[in-house]
Amino acid sequence: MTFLMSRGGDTIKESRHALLVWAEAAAHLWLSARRAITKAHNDVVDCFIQEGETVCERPARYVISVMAQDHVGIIADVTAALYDLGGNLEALSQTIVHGWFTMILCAAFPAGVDKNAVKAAFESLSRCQVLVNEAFDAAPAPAVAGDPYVVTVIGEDRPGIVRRLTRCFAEKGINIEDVWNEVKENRFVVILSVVVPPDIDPKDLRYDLEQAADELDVSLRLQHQDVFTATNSLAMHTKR
Amino acid sequence: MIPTEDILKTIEMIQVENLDVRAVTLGINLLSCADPDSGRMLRRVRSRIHAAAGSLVACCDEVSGKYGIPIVNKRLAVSAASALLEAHGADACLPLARVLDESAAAVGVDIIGGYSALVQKGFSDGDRRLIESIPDVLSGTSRVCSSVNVASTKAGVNMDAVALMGRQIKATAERTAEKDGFGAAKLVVFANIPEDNPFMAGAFLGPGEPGTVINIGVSGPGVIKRALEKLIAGQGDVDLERIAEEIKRTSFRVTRVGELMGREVAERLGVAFGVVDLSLAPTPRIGDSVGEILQTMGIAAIGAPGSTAAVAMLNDAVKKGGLFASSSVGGLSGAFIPVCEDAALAKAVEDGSLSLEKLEAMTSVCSVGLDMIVVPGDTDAETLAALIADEMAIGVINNKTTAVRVIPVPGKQVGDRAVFGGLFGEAGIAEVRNPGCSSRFVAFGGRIPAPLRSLNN
Repeated sequence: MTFLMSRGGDTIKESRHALLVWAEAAAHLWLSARRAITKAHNDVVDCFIQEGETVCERPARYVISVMAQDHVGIIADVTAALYDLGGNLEALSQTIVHGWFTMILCAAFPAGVDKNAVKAAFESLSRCQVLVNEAFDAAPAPAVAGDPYVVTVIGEDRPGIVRRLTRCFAEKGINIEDVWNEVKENRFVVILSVVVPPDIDPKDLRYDLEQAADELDVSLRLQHQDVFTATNSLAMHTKR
Repeated sequence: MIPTEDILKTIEMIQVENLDVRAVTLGINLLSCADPDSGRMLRRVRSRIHAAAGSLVACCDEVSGKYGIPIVNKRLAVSAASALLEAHGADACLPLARVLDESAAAVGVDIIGGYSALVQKGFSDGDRRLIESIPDVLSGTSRVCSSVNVASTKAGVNMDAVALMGRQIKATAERTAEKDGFGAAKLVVFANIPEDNPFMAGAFLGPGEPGTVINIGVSGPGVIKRALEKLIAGQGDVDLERIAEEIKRTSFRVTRVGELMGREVAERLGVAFGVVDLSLAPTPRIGDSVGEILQTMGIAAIGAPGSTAAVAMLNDAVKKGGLFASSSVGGLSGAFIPVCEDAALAKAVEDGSLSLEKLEAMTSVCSVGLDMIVVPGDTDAETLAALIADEMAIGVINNKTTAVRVIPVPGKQVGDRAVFGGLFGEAGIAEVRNPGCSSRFVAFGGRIPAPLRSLNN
């Protein structure tokens, strides 16, 4: 938050009366600003007073994706750039695929820091390709409500396996929340974390997926995520 | 997402190691069906089972579909049928058993346990009628299983009941001679019978249990065997502590699956969840054998010195891993060594490396007793009774459950084979040494008093 006070007049210091007027006005403005801050606290509204006016402006929140050939220090560079812009990191997820580092993060910046400034700062420091988007005001609701399932597909590698299966999910309105894929010595493994809406019977879905898997000559399993939570952690059920 | 290695580990357990839920058993208390009018009693039993278990199989299939893990056996265990026979004559026994048989078939269940009596301290009229009817019942029905508790640590051993059971086992085998005495494979004699055991043939719903309750039997020994094979192949220098640790970890995962799915079945049926039984129950399928675990642990010939120590360690590690995984462990919870149902044990008996005496020693440190052992058909009833008495003594003195399920195969001798098929398996006839030498001891009758519980040597 920026909080500026300026009454621009030499006469303010000329008399005690003028000083009292200034103090009263300042107190009035301070109270107005406090009220504005309190009122908009939950919306993280930034308030400041400029040239006698109370002005409210949202801070900038961006979702930024960063991609670079993997090397030591990418995250250090990016977070340094973020710090220099006055930003605050809110969420970050990162992975490396085939030597390419990729990261998506969400950060809040002071009002006035625009997307181009962020993009330029990140790119200059870490030889990255950067994409900056404005974040939603609040965390959006999940694209699809339902039960979390895990689909595992194992078989001989060939083009089109993920295309065929993901088309099946898209047609049924099943959202894919996470995908992991690896090919080692021609053995193809893909694990998809999906949300199955309540109006879809897992038995029917399994049948359709297994038909697709048969065509692709791969083995496929559809299982509720709780099986993996229960067998691999101290919790019995997946937290949603 | 859950770490991919963890997902792949679980998938491997299901695909390669045959992780499953071995048994979902619905316990049903039938005491409310008691009636002096036998027709009314039978109608009540039928409708009680239909009402409680009508959706069991469909529910298990749904839960199995949700988690992608098979539930192999769906069973029923009713409260001891002897209580229903108290007010009736002997002519009510077979009709009651047939109603149990038909009701199980009607709800799509292949086995129903609970044609049972508890006589460790003495017989009621209903108990005696039930025990006397066992040969008729087990030869006249296909799904009914029977169990009789003849001993407990608090009561001692009822030797009159032991002698009677020796005769009934022999009679049951003879009544089903055309099937290698298969009737006796559905009859178990117990010491310290558990009230919540989900595994057949000894399952029944004991006193103190909820009116209807789901008890779970976890996956078989194949998962543990594969885990140990991988451990030993991957790290040449493992010691027994590391092996015990791997058994514990695997048992944890296996138990978690049982608890997760069992609780959901119970919730969907609207009945209480009872226990997860940690027992490793083998099947005749290669790779699903407790004997093979012992071989993986370095016992080249099952029955060789070291076998008892190996099975003791296996049994203990399974319990430790399972207890941490579940908040409700019960039943028998140990490693079973049913000879016919375990291909490696059956082969060891045929090869002569595993004797009846060594099996008896192993049962003192594992679950559950002399189980599914085929013996010569001419073994006399007193020798069978004495065999039971020995096993009961192990259970009573060591404050554990023990049991005997032996099948004297009519017309067969050592060197022959008995074949039951399916989950009951097959095996060569085991030698019973010194037959006919225990009849005087058995003939004394009465009761072996309850044991001292101190000076434990």
